[in-house]
Amino acid sequence: MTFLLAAALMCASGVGLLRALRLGTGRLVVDVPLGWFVGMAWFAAATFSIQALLGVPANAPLAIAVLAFPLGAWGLLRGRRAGRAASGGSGAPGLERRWMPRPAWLFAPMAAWSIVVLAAVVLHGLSTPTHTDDGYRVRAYAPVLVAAGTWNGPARDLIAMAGPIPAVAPALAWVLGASVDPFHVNATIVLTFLALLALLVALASERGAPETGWGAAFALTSLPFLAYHATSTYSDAWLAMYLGAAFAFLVAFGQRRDTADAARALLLLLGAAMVKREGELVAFPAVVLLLAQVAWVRRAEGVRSLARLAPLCAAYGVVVAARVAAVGLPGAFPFLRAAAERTVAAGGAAATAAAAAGPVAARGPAPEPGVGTIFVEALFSDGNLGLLYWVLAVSVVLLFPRILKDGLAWSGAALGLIFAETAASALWLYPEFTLDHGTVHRSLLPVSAAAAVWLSALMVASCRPGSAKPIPPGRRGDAARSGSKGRPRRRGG
Amino acid sequence: MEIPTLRRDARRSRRAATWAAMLLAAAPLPGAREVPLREFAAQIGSTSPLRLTSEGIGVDVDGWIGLILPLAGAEALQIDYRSAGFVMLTWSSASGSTVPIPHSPPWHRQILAPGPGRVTLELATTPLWGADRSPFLFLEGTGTVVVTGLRARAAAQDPAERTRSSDEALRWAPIRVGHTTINWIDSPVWIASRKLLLQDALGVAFATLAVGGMLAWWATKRRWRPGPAIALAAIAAVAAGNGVFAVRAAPALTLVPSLDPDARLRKWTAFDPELGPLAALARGVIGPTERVGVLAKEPNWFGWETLCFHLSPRPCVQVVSGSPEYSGLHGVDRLRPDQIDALVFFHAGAPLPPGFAPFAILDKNAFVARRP
Repeated sequence: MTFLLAAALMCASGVGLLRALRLGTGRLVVDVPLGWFVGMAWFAAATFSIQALLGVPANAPLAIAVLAFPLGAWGLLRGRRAGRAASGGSGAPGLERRWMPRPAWLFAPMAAWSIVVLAAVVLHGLSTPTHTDDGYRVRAYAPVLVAAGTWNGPARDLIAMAGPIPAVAPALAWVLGASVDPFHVNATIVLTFLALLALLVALASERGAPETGWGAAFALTSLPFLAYHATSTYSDAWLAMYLGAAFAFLVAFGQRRDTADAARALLLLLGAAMVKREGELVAFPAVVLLLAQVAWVRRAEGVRSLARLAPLCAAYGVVVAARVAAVGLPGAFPFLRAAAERTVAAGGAAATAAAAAGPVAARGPAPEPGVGTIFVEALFSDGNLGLLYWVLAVSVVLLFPRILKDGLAWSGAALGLIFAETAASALWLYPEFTLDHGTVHRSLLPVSAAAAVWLSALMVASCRPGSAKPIPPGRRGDAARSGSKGRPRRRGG
Repeated sequence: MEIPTLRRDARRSRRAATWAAMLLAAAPLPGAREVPLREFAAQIGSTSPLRLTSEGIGVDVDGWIGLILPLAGAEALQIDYRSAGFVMLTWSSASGSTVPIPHSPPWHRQILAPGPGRVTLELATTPLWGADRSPFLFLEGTGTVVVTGLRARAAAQDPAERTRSSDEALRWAPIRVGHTTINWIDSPVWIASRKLLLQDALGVAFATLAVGGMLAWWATKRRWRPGPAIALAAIAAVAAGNGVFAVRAAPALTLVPSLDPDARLRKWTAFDPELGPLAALARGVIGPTERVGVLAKEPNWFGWETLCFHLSPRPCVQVVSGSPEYSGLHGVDRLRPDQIDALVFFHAGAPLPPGFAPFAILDKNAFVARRP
């Protein structure tokens, strides 16, 4: 019960933050699941930063103050905005809300499957012991440390390793006075899965394309490994869910060019950056591309186009500073250190081999045998990610023109960069974990969730006749033009 | 201290899948022949002495016991038993006296619920199984098991029929959650004998359908519109894969959530029959501010880490004999021997430190001790 109360508070705080930032969609059905994501990110960022920078441990008054702040800010700003145009509502002008996907015979079984998997994840996730197959979970132990106010060296390392969201968000109920039950970690992840599916379906339906939402839900629930991880306490599923939600708005921004969607995507990407150590690395290319996209799309506005997003990025800088304060500079960016060490090691090996064997070996060290094969099998054959990469590969090749035409190029490029990063990690940075199958499948979860959302948008767009772009007034569409090609011109009225 | 509610909770929380599995297990094993226990007992290879009783073959489990049954070529077993205590059965197959690591994936295991019961063991889906291998049973925990009946179904003599049967079994083999499942789910196979994986078969089918549908659309409508064909092919192929996954995953699901953390722990016996109940017992009797040491057999990291995790936020460390200071999870907690208030003993195989006496007892290998 306390957990549900804590979850409701978190959600309300997130909705308040969205409204205060004027990023609410004006529809509660969208804002509530989105608010859950944003609320967790806000609470985690604020609590972690206050602990690391000011030395104030998480406690009930602080938690309530942090959660209440966005609601207070919203109330205050709402009063100031009174008399102006309707607040917070960057809804979907001109788009007809539609909840039933068409054709029903095709989407009804897909929706049924999504709901069955969701129910299984919720029930099984709430029945699975938190420790499952490992003695303990870094991500499940970190919230206990946060709630207990333990902040010694090893605890700081562990909390930084887990990332602010997995470390802080599940601890809310305990901080508010509930007895520690590690099971809240399961429940928080399960609730995030529920929020993700609700967000995808509601967002797409509110914007008149329920097929995209249900398609994304079907694609996500057809990733067996994601479903399993949503019931466990590992945070890879969490990272995947944040990234999947972010891609829903990245795709929407590409298609509608509403800066509010870009800001929502950025909020979610910054949330993804606060999950595990690799979250930041995974989210970074998408953030860079998003900023570039906004600058390009709104180039007429110049630097002002980024004004709305800059404060969010600056706020994330505080979280980075907090992490540096907690674990020091080398500990705050372990992947950069690993990459540097790897580069030096590879360079050293190459130089040694070149010196020993002359120009033939100077081409560089041979790739680790089997790593590439294992990675490709993880994508296509092993079944952990269903058929996602088969469908993705075929779709990208055959539907490439639609990617450009339907505003999916920027989000597709972000997806490509994240995939490249994942591949580099599996093939180059940590090949040993690919060879022993230790992390290769798990590391693919975030990019796969993003790919599922993006692919669904591409599929639905490609099934629509003609271009999705609105035809400017006074111009004829491509289909109309190609249909009349070669025919005699009409004259007169 | 006895825990009278322990078994009642365990029985009450039996999930639907367990009931289904029990019904299936209780059903007769088709094609099986009865194995006469009296003649059979002397031929069993065992790491501990067996005893022949009026009921059947009895064995006391204290830690672990391995049994190799001289039933080479058996593809399924059905065992009637009477059990007491906390015992988990793992099954696999052996070649001569060489056995695979018992917990290697896919880990086939089942808790033997106290009292009489029947368990059906599918051997054809265990790692490395072949028609020339013998069943290998591995019992862990603390308790007693008496085998009161045994039936075995031999693999088909005809190699082609045996291959077909094995392929069929592996195709629909239930997913078995084990220590490696967090890293990967065992790949679904379509035809194991040809090493054809399900995803490869479905992937090729999808690509063929997509391209075929696209060309058909172009041929009939004279328009290049690949989207619908790709989407329909993708949905069909993905749905087929989902169907197989659903069939394989269903037995592994637990669908009855428990809101009480201790009850949840008591019914958790997935990887170890005693660990969950012992954690629940320790949570119940150790105060929230007491400092805890866990004395567990090394290098069994799983036991002490799980116990310390479930006892957090109480300070909790692993007790290592002779060490001046003990360390807890991730090195967060550090305690000297004299700072420990309560000690959780779990199959340590070592005596209790001086001054400690059992206080709350699950069984002789799993209890909580404290200073008098």
